[in-house]
Amino acid sequence: MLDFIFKPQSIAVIGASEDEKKIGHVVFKNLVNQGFKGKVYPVNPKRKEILGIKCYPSVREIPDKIDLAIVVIPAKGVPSIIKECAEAKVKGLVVITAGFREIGGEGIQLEHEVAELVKRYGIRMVGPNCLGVINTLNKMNATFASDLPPSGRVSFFSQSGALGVALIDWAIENDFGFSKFVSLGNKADLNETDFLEYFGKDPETDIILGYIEDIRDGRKFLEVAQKVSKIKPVIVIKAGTTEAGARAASSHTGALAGFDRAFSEAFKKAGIIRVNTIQELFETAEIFKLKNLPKGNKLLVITNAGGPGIIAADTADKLGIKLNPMSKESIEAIIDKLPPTASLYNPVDIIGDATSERYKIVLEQAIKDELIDGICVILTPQAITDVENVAKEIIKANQISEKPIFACFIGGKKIREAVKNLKSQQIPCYSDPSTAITSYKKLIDFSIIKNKKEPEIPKIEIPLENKERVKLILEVLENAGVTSVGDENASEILSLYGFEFPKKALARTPEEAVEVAERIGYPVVLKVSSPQILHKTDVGGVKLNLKNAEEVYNGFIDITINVKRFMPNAYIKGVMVYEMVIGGKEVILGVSYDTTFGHMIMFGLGGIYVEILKDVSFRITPLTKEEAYEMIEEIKGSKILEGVRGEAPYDKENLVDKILRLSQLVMDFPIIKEIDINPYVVKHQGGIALDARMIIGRI
Amino acid sequence: MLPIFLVSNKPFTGKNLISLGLALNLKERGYKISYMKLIGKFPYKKDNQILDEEAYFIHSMLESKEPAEYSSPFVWTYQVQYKLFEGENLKIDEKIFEIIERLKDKDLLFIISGDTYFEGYSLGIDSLSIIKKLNARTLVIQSWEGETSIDDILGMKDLAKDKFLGAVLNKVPPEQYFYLKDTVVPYLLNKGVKVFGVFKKDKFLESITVKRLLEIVNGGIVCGEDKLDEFVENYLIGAMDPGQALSYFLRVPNKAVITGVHRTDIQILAMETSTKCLILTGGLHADENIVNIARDKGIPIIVTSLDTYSAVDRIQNIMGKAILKEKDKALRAKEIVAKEFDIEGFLKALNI
Repeated sequence: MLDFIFKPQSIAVIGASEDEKKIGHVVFKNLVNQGFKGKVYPVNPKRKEILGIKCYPSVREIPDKIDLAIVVIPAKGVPSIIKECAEAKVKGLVVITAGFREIGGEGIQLEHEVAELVKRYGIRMVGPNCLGVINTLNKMNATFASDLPPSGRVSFFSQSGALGVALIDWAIENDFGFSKFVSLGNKADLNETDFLEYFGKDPETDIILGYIEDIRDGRKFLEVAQKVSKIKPVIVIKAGTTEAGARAASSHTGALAGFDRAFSEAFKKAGIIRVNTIQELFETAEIFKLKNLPKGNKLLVITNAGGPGIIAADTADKLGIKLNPMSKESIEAIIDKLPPTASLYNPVDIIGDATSERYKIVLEQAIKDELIDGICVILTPQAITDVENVAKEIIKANQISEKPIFACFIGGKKIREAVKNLKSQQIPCYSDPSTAITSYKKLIDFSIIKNKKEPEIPKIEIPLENKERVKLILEVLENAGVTSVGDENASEILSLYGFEFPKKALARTPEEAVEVAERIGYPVVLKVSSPQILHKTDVGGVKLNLKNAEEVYNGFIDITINVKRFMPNAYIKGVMVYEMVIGGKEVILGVSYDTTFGHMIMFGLGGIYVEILKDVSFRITPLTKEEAYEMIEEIKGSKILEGVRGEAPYDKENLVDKILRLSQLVMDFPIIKEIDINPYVVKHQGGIALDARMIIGRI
Repeated sequence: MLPIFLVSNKPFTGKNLISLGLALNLKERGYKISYMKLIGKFPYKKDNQILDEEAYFIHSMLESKEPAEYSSPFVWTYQVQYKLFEGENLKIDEKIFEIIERLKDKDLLFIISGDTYFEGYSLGIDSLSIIKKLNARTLVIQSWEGETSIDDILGMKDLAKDKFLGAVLNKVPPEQYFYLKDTVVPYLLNKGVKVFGVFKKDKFLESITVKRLLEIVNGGIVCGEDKLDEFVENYLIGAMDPGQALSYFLRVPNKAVITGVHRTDIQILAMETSTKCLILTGGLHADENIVNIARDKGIPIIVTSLDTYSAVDRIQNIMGKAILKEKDKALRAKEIVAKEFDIEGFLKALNI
């Protein structure tokens, strides 16, 4: 536990200063003046006292036991300070000092040294190059930001210090309560995963916010986030989302995966709620103040104005939130109490002359209604609207309701007091219906995440001898320095993992090709067999649908001629004769590799759907059966697989099985970095892979 | 019939081009000329017959009445190599001699050797075997790649003995032209080698068509489909800062510019200079504005999913190694031969 960082009994500020312009002064002053409940010791060999407190030349000289040291001296001095802290048995360090990895060159060296030292001495370190840490509950402001934000139950880790300062300022202005804040800095020791885990267990934290630019250990982060996100909402902004940085990849799947895709998928898998703007981060945090979670996605909107109601309804529709009417009984129960011009369906429009009484009538009914999972109360201040009383009704309803209730009050001066009241009672209140609904959607998402079963990774039985054979093939390829694995080896590996491939045999003469074709049965496909040729169609190395001996004979000659023309020096083993697969739908199955999170499985429909529309889905391995299904359902073209225009549906079970097998294969053999099975033909029953490629390598 | 054997010890020295240029000139003077490429390497299917594409082109240019197979008796295909290694006697040499026998009534027969003196040895059709068996007068076509280039000529002179006719120096960098004429040619003459022509390196003859570029990068054409037959003489890679690009582009005419599909800055600058074609790498979606400008200027745009390096690698491999299959180039060859080749001296040496 990292309690010594957030709840230290004693803090030493190493590099505390008298000079008001220095960070060493600000940090020390913040701790002393903002009421930190522990002891604070300044350390500075040049001073006798700072702010009237006795100053020590070294942390070793302090008679008290020190839990946490805040380091604000120049970078070069940090390593020796760490040694001193070790001698003084300091448990945690917050290194605010900059001048490490972020400046490159020597800075990188220095950071390595510092990381080495804390590891050796068993001290945990925040930073370097960070803003510091805050705990509002013990009034610890160990940062150089000016004030403590109000107390609350939201904790925040941020990779950007400047953003941290801005947020604290914002929180003060908007009366947004924080529990704990940590600026991660360069993450030389403690990183996002550590704080996610800590906040997850912290009884003083209900909501976790994060701002991250990169993740140190993707797999560990995923593992921790999966656990935490089931207990508390984890809301994260991830910066750097453009695909501009997408690495050039040698395979299809890799190119389609892009840079940000892995993060999106990882967050999805981990149950992290992702937001894109700072505004959205807070709007989302606001909704999570609600203690009640919706049991489903049916929302009732109550409004005294048509326009905002429509905006809310539109947004809800876009996000898949159902605005179903209340039950028949409910409607009958309120019909006589509302004016005839009121709309009783959803949104319930109690019209412009509504007072708090009408809100009360609908609210009381709605919280009892079985068909409603959550309630959104919209208000515009009109001539006789008693705004404050409406707020009171909402507060009352919220006290007895098991359903989440949130508000959207649109206006300025007339609603100010009421909004304040709502917020003081932990009822989210927005000024825009669209924002209100969008934020509420995240509450629904969280409720789904929370109720999700423990992920169960299906174990696919692969005979031991098959695994051994795959191992051998990969060893041979690796020793030969092969990185691009062509169809022949790739299809053998995949066959051993339960993939079907068309019948095939190598022919070295046109006569042999005919012989093979007769054996396999017409029609057949011919493909040049050469390890040097990855893109066989590009060099005229493929002939499809050959129906008789003559076509096969000529096809053989044509292929060898074409290949000679394009690649005169290519080594041609012969021509592979394949059974021609007829019918079915072409899809693409693949694996790509992300340096942070590892392998991802890809699925998409074949041809233009993949190339142009990029209609593909990804999941990080290992996959659950549910995830495999989701992958298929998620693509826009998934309806095509259900069979259109009277066609029978295609075998989704088969696809799920194959997706899981790919997941198993790369978990068993992580040396396989990318796989492209393009196309894979899924039939009404079963499926067959037509072409496969792999990229192998160690990272 | 007099067989003239054009030999070289390296590929792409210009044997076919010079023989065609010479043949066209001699034909005009009333000689009956025939052409034969011993070892075809560009298989091409014509009426169910596998011919060498270049040989077939030359055959058509000469308007020969004989079967096309006479110009291209043997093409090195996968089937041939398979049979060879299986130990089959292919009797290629016999077939060739039979054809030559049938061309008796011609005045001259230009025979083109393999790419090196020994190429075709396994089939009995390497340069030395042919010289010996046919008593062919031997002309070395040498591309000038520095001073050691004379060794292939002098060596062949000794090997061909009294069948040695002389040499042609081809692909000579223009700035070395007079140096060769004043120094190297007299030296060779002194060693008993008659040099019938010194041909400057010709950007046009070494150019390739936009169509071939399209084929080699396995690309798609976005606009300028009517310009596929235009010739590209140079290529440049647009990877630099736009500030430096213009002066770099201005220096090179008739070029293809290869650059990333997202480098619209480079693409615009390239189209301001003499550019025959843009090759955009790493994606298939060219910027719409760029396409409009290109349409306006009549510059074809090729898009390819290859990365820049791979595209350049493929193009580099074919630049200056194009086979002859365009009429414009054939006519250019005829013109150059008429100007730079000592036809009179050549006929005199042959005693016809």
